[in-house]
Amino acid sequence: MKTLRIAAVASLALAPVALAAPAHAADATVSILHAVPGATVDVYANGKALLTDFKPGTLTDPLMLPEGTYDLKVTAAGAGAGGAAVIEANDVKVPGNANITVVAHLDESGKPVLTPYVNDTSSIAAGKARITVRHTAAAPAVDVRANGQVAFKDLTNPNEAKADLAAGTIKADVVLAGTDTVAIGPADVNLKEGTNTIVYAWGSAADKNLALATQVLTGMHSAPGGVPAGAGDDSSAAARWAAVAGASALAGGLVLAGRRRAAAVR
Amino acid sequence: MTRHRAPSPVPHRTAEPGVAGGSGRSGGARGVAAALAVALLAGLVTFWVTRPSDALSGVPEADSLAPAAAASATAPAPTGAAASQPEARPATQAVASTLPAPTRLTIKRLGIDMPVKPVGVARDGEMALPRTPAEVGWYEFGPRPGDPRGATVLAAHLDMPGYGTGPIAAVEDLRPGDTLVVRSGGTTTRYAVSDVRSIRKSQLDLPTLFARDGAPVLHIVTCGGTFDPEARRYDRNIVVTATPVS
Repeated sequence: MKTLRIAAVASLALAPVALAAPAHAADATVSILHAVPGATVDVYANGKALLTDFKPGTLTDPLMLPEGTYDLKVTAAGAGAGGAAVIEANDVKVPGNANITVVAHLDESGKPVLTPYVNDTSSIAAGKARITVRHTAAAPAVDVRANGQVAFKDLTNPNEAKADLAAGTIKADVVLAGTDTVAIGPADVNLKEGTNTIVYAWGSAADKNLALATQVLTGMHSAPGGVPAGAGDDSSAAARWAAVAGASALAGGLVLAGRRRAAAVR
Repeated sequence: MTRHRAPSPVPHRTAEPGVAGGSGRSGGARGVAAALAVALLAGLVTFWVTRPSDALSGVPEADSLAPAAAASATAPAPTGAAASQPEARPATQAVASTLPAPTRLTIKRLGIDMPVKPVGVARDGEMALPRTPAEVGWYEFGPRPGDPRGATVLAAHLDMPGYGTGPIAAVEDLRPGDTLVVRSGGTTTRYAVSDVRSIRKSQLDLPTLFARDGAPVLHIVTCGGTFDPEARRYDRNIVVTATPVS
């Protein structure tokens, strides 16, 4: 548990400090994902029940938690606040204004752990979508492929990788690193413009229950840079120059003709 | 011995006036200068009169969009204190039930009846538009007609070399209260114009124009102002704002 606690604190410390600028206590947006196969659990924060009857493969709606330090404990469902911990993480720092997903999952060797991930909610260019992939499965290193091409290489538990791509649907699968041996998928993943789609590989390779879980964060869209709704009209430009030339010739001609007539009369 | 032809005492006016000799020379030169001056003046006047600015002179110029769309920040419905338990649901992608995409824009009073095509973002980061001014582009990443929040954006080219001026140019004549009809497959959404503005491109509030939040609104966008032939750009956008009529 001690190593876990350190990992948890270190992870949360990665949250950009600048985001926690306001002087008043800011809330953090926290979602919780249950990615430990087979166990329905209760989750306690500082001794109080945060979630009960929490099932594998489910994700909570975002929860606003005041910034601060939390002792988190996961027990078997109905075990009570004093029940034996399936997972425990103390002194987990939750920075204000951060967007965090706390994931209960298996480590590479199959032991249940809690990992808090800080989600990237920075703005995304118009027309693009962000994809984040997280290895939260009891499985070795993997490559994540998009439309058959390796997009993220050599990802290991509990690490993540991300990229901003053109919005649209991709066919994603997970292969054992450096091989074509498919571990999960393929699955269609809809990368909606302006969102961060977070895909978790979870479960256990040994128990043959590897799966994908998906979380979508919205609201990071940007407006296009402008509306270039005119390209000129050569025909009207040509007509304009013809009018200019015509008027010049006509006026000049009239003056000359007038003077000539005057001279002839003289 | 060849005899020099005596200069004609009378300027030879049927020849090039500029080479007329004798006493007529200064008068002819003056005539040419006057003709050139008047020609130049006439050319300049024509140049000015036909300048491509404000075909849309009836459209008020503005430096901003309507004070529409509220702040785009959306609090994702916080569940309040840690005491209240958050909802947990399967961590799978929600099957987005979307309304149909717009397919046709009709403005009866102006004789506008144009097909609408979905468009996204061009390589340069600006909104992509159908190449031909005969078609309207709908910004496919934004709200659809009937969506409860945000701005549906339709835009069409004012003009295009080889095509001339497009039908969308007529939107300058829209007045508050005019009806716009957008068809989305079999669904029809009616809008009432609330205003028409000419906005300098450098001042255009793009996040409001493309708002995803706030009251539902339709923005019809084209170009206006002065065309810069070097940059091949107009310096203004014409923005029609209309609200859905229930």
